[in-house]
Amino acid sequence: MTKGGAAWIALALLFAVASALLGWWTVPIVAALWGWASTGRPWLSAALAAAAAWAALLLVTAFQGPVGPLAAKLGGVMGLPAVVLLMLTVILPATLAGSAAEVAAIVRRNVFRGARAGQGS
Amino acid sequence: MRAGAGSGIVRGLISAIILAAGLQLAARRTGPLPPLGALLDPWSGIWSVALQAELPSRQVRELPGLAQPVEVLYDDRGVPHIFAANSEDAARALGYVVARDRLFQMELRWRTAAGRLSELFGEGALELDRQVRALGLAWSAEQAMATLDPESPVVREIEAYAEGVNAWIAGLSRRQTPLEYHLLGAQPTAWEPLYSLYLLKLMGWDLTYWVTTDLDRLKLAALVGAEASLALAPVNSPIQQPIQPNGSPAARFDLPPLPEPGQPDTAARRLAEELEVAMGSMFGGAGSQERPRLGSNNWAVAPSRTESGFALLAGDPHLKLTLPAIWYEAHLVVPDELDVYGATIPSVPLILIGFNRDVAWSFTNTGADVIDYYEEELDDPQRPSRYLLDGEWRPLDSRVEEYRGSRGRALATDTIYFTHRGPLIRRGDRRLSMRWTVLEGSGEPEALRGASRARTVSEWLKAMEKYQAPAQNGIVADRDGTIAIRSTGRFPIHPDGVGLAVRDGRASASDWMGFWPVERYPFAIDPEQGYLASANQQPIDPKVDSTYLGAHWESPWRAMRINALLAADSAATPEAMRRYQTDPGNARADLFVRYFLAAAKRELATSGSAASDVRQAARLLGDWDRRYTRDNERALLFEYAMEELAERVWDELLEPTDVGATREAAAAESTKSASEPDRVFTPSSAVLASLLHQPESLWWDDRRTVESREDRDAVLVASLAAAYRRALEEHGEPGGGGWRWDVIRHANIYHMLHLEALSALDLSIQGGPGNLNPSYGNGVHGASWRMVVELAPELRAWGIYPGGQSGNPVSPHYSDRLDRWVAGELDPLLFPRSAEDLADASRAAILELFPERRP
Repeated sequence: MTKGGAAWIALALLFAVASALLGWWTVPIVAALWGWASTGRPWLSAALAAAAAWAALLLVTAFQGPVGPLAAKLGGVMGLPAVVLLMLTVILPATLAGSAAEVAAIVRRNVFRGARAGQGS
Repeated sequence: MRAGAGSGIVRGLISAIILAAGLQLAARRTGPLPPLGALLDPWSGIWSVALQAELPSRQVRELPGLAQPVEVLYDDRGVPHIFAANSEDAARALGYVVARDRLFQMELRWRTAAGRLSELFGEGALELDRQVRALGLAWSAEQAMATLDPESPVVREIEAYAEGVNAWIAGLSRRQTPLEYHLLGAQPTAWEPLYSLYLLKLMGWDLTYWVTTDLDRLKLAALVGAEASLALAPVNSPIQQPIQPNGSPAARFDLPPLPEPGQPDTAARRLAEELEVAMGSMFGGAGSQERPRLGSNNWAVAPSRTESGFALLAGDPHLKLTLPAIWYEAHLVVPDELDVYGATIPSVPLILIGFNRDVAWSFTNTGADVIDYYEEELDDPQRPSRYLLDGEWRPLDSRVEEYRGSRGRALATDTIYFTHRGPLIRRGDRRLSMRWTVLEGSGEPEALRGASRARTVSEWLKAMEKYQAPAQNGIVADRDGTIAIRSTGRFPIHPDGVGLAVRDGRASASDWMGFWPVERYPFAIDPEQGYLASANQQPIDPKVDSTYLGAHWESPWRAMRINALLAADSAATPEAMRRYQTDPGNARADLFVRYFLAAAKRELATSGSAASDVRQAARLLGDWDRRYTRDNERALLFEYAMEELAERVWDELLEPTDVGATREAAAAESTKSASEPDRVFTPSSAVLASLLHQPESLWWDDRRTVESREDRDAVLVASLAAAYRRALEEHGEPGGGGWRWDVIRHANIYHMLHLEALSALDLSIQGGPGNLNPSYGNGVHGASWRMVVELAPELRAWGIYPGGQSGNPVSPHYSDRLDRWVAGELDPLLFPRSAEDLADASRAAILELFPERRP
């Protein structure tokens, strides 16, 4: 496994553990830290890791209870197909994580750029 | 370089916008959507509801307050059998297990009674909250609590129950939160003992508030005068088949001539307007805008008329049907003190309908007149502090009610005033006070507690003497073979002998003069006929006792049917009892079909050119066996004919504006749709039956046909023909499947938040208006619990309610009983004497509760 792959798995695990222990709001925070610490464009890896983390948590729940029938009923309540609701459950963390990581990465770049510019002058 | 920086800024802006939008959706409510972050969180969000679908097969928990360990065995129907060492422990365990299955329902119910729904639903519920608090339900529950002895067993059990509920809430993780809380973005609120009394008050509201006929009579008098109004909404039922047997095996038809429409009464109109405003929009009870069609059946058969030689008892209260159901089955065992099984209502530590080893009982609503309104004179209409009574100003009591929204934000404040009679309802310069037995009762918990411990019918009757409201027809049977029925509750003695008017509040002479003594309650024990039955009909034949008890009696069709079935069955069995509960026969159809057919026959005989639709309709109706089976294709025609008949006969009772409109439309259409009549009041079908004996009465005249005057037969024939045309138009040709009763009539059981995806809709059932298994209107009312008990040496019982034990929509016990309920089947009810007696095959789960360990 590459170093990047291992880091991505660690990130996904961190998303999962933080979400389970503390709540959904940890997703943008963890992603922002990832974006800040990463070089390059971290939004894709953050989005995929968050989506994978929540999908895995959902899968764990599905092994223990009837998530499918629940999705069908909730979909009915919200006027959405069940599959859309399930997709939303992975799209939401992906969106939060991807955008948070990207914002953090851009801020970091600009902060460093500013710092370098300051040193240059 | 500059271009790269520019694109970075754009990317950053786009990302920031996406992040902000995502956070908004995740953290804040968006329209009807709760915050999606917490909702969709796959660990502790709404998906975790799936984890609570099944009961763990074995669980051990500490339950604070327990004196001894309690064993709870769940049978395969999800019913908890609670084995405790004392009754407080049993109540505590019951609170715990009911909260586990029905927590949100409990919260919704107490908030409804307390007028605190806006704290859960926001400002949209404010108006309902204000109306409920104006009724004084919460106030009266507090008054009742204050009168109860805090050291009495019943209060200690109510408190223990609350502790059990709170123990469940305290141990609740986000992952165990019921689905509805996730949807609302709310958290469960701690339970207080007072909430149990709220529930009893809520029952009183549901079962008595709408019963008043004062408003109906006033509206009728405003249109057709006082004399006609009394005849159209009579104090005594025109058909007598009373609960207390009167010696006549068959119904007696007391069909007095109906006086012709009189002159409008303007004073009655003014009072009707005042009363309608005062009663608000809650006429339907529990927040419903529709007047509920509540009704119930119960009956008991003496050993002399049963196949086994043991008494039989059956009961099926008809209430608003919801998912989860209003009832929850439970079995409570305390050695040497209590061994009771039955239906409790989540919120109270009491079995309301059920049986113990020796006695079984059930209730129907009496429908007595237990509300009076008084027009009061205040010192200052805007800021009153006193009211006039017997020429002296007396101080008003007051209570400030504050309303809060879902985030604790203050929404409004009201001051509710009280006279010595009860709450004062003020709208503009109108001011009426209300006296209502439901606001005064506090004996119900103790009465029901005693009832569940009774060993004989006489002990049960004695215990129920403390019961005050809502008045109920309690039927009871014991293992000795005794059967009895008594209409129990506080029945006011009205100063003028009746309770039909808005009274003058300025005189204490208008006040109630007391209540009926128990000895005078409608009552029968071990009657010669060998059976007893009630179906919300008038309890006592006025020829036996004419004292005013009320004036809102259900038409006795169900009573006639069950009496006929029981009279014809000299060897009744539990299976027959079960069949009777959904019997398709209908006394109303038996009576009216005869008249329709006779009128059509005369018409066809005298007029050779009679329209072919009359001939066809008569042929189809004549084919009918008058049974509301699911596959019958004639009940539709009859029901339409009854609607058309009411439309033609009671055209004098249309709202005044509609009369004009109807006259204008008369030339254009020969028949007006009967689907949405806008009458001030529709007299009962029993009153309509009276009119059948006055073929020339002016009531038969259809005022829309200005040039002619119709008689009975003309209206019956026209109604039948119109019904046939309407059935053709709406449902196609007969025989094409569109007329089948199971296509037409449905029960609709809505989730308590009216979420259709969590509801059970369009359930085709056997039954219709006037059936023992009645089905009216939009199908939201029906048999909420069916029970049959055989009082053998080893008692046997069967029962069912629509839905299931769990409030979790993905639990197998959410709606597992629906199919059998629809089919009219009953489940055998397991009644083990001890934990060991419950066969392993029937054990679905075990919950062991232990006292909290001391540190």
